Amino acid sequence: MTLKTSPEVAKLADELAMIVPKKYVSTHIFERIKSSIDTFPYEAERENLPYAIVMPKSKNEISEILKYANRIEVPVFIRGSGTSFTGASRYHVPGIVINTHRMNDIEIFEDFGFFECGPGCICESVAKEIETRGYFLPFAPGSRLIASMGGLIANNTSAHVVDASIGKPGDYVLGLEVVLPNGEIIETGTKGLRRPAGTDLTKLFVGGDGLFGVVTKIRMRLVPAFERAYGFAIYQDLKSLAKGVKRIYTERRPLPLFMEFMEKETAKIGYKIKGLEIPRGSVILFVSIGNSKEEASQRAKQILSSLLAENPIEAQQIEDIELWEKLWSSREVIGSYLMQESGNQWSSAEVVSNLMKLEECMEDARHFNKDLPVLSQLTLYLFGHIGGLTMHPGVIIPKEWDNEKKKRAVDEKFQREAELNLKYNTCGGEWGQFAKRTPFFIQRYGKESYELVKKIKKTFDPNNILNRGVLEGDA
Amino acid sequence: MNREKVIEDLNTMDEEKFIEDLKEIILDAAKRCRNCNYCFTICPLFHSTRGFMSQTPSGIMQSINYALKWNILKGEDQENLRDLLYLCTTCNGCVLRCKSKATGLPVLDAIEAGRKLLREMMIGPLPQQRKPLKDIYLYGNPYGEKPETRVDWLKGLKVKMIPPERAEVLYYVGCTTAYEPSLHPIGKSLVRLFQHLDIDFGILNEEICCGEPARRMGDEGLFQEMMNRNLDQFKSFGVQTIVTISPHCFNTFLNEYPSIQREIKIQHYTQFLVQAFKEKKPMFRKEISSVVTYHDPCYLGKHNQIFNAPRELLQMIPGVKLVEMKMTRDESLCCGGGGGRMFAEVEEERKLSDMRIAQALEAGANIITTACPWCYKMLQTSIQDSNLGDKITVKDVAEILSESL
Repeated sequence: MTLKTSPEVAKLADELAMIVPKKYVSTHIFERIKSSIDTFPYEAERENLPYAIVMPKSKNEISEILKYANRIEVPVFIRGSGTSFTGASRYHVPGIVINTHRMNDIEIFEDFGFFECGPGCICESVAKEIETRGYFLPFAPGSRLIASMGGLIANNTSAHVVDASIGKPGDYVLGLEVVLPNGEIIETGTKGLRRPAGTDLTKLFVGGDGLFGVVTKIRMRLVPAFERAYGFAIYQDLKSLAKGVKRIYTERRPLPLFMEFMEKETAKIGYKIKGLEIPRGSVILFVSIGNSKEEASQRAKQILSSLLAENPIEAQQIEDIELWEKLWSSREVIGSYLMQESGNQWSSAEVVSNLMKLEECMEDARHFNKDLPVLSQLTLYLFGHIGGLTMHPGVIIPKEWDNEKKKRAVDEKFQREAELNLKYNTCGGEWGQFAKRTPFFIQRYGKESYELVKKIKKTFDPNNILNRGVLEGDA
Repeated sequence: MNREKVIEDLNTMDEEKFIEDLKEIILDAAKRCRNCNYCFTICPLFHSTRGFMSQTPSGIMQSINYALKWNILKGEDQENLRDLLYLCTTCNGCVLRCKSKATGLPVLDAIEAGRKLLREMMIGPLPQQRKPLKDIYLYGNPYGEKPETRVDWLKGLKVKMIPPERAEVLYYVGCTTAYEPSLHPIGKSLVRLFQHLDIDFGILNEEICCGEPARRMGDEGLFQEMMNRNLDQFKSFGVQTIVTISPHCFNTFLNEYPSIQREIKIQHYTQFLVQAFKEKKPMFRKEISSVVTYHDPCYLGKHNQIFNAPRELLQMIPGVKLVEMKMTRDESLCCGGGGGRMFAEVEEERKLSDMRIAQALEAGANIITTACPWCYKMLQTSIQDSNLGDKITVKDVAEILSESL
């Protein structure tokens, strides 16, 4: 149902206020605007502003909201921190936004070996809570300071971590509490430390792009903190760098927790900001882990032996923590520096290679914007999580460009990203499968797969109430 | 576009241009904002409001941006916008976060430009903030107190009064310390410390508000007037060094009076004392056997990166065990009193000062120190309201130093 008049919207707000306290329902225009924009460089769309934003505290409140939304056939969108890079937090139709920030309880059950948290918990807060007790949050998104746990689980993002090293967040999820789109509440998984063999509905919601239910509680295994060792390598060219990374896999080295890279010209920017001597080539930085310092160090040495086989200009372990932090932050600051220097906005893609063709993929990523009408007008920067065979070619979108041109730039980015991930038979490992990526999903997995997802969605959500538009995306 | 340009327009009385400049500050910052939301978890509003996304730094900035672009400045929307803009404590946390992680936007300048714009349009400030503005204009202080009673707290103390006397250091007391009886011990402590260190200091006979509250509440005209009146005084009495109690006055003189820093040395008292103590080695006679934590005032820490001086002073005191709260230094939690909020009731689901006291207790402190009269008042009120007086007390750094002499 589309609400056309102010009294209709006021009625909706009144009825929502019978489910949650009135003060947690907002129909203010400014809240509606802010809750409908994301990191895309173009403006809010008036016609798609939500009708109301509601902040429930409990699963029961969410259940009632969804039952109500089904009755009046108004879509419901779940929103954490709104940091999606694929347009999943941009709406295609108006509806009710559920902001999860009040669902931010965290409980640590050391005797049971797990913690539980609400979807509105901020990743950083959870990390700090468990780190003080000697545990480690086994994922590290760049947006850790703001990302919500609910969004993170819905994406099952590897973020900057090397997947093959410690897996994905889903590998640590023991169970969930979920409100289905029709308002029914279910529990999945276990309260033990042994995850179910056989059918485990948890898997449908972890990395489910928010299509099949609202996760209201997350139970994750407590992972003891590791010891770490650090290393770096500099290569004359990207081809050798890629070959070095491939060796780590093919020579069966213990994979690092993180392995980042910066293409030479991009690295120069980060090094310069941090007052480091300008690198003579493209840079790799990595973090090895172990149960002891010695083990971590031993593993770092093994990685270095593979990297050294491709004749880097330099490659070694780093013992000086201060130097390491400078190097590591040189990678972290590039995007923000470029934005601040130019006064414009950063926008990047997620190109993922297969192992065998890493050199070729890297070359493609280096020419990511070639022949694209809008993006080719901009300088390309290249870095990424090379341990996870992921590259983030990025550009700076000028603020002076009009809305339409900015939209074309974003569309071109997703088109080229899709072309490359199709070429290498891969997919993004950080940002979700649908919204702007729906066309890619269809090309990559076929219409049959897409129709199957639609059927599953219909089974769970016959009225297409929950996060409408994410699955449809730009299809 | 910068603040100086806005002031220039105001001084030339080109009101239309002034408004255009304010709009440009807002639109430019919002256009560059990536909506990454990095600013929201560092913002005190994230901890104290209901948590709607419009109640975040980028949310407030985008609200005024869209209000201008989509012309949403009528009726209820007008009030909503005003309430959002005046919710900000102006702590500067968002600016630091944006600089370290994102586009490095002047978020606070945009929010304050929004306030000025609303003031020009007669939409701002908040109703309760009108009286303090009027009082600054009429009495030279935001509390409506008589100017002639401003130095009453000094009775019985031997202090040079400027004029007719002159002194090397102008001790700028500030309105809150001068008029609020519970803060007089802080003012007196600093007198004692100066005397102990043989500092040649004096206090203005006709001290007036620095204008900070006026600027924070969006009244640029009143701010300019107070600035000019203060500058006239400083000039006519040949002031060369100003030492303030309040970080707000300190920041105003240092960063918001355009030309002053070329002629006058501006210091917060913690900076001044650290330097003086290093040169003159004070005699601490009394041990303060307490677990002490330090609350960073935003206008000292997050605005001016003065984090070490107060801590160095506390560490000089025999017996003091200094502990840190979990949010500290550039991530310190604002007390909630800045940005004009001392003069109005704004939305606080959880009071920031209550949270701060809880953090101090969690750190094991039995004294929470600070170096700002407003922070002091906020923290003191929280302790009283929560009946926590038997567990923790608030002290200004000057007080605790003076007690140990």
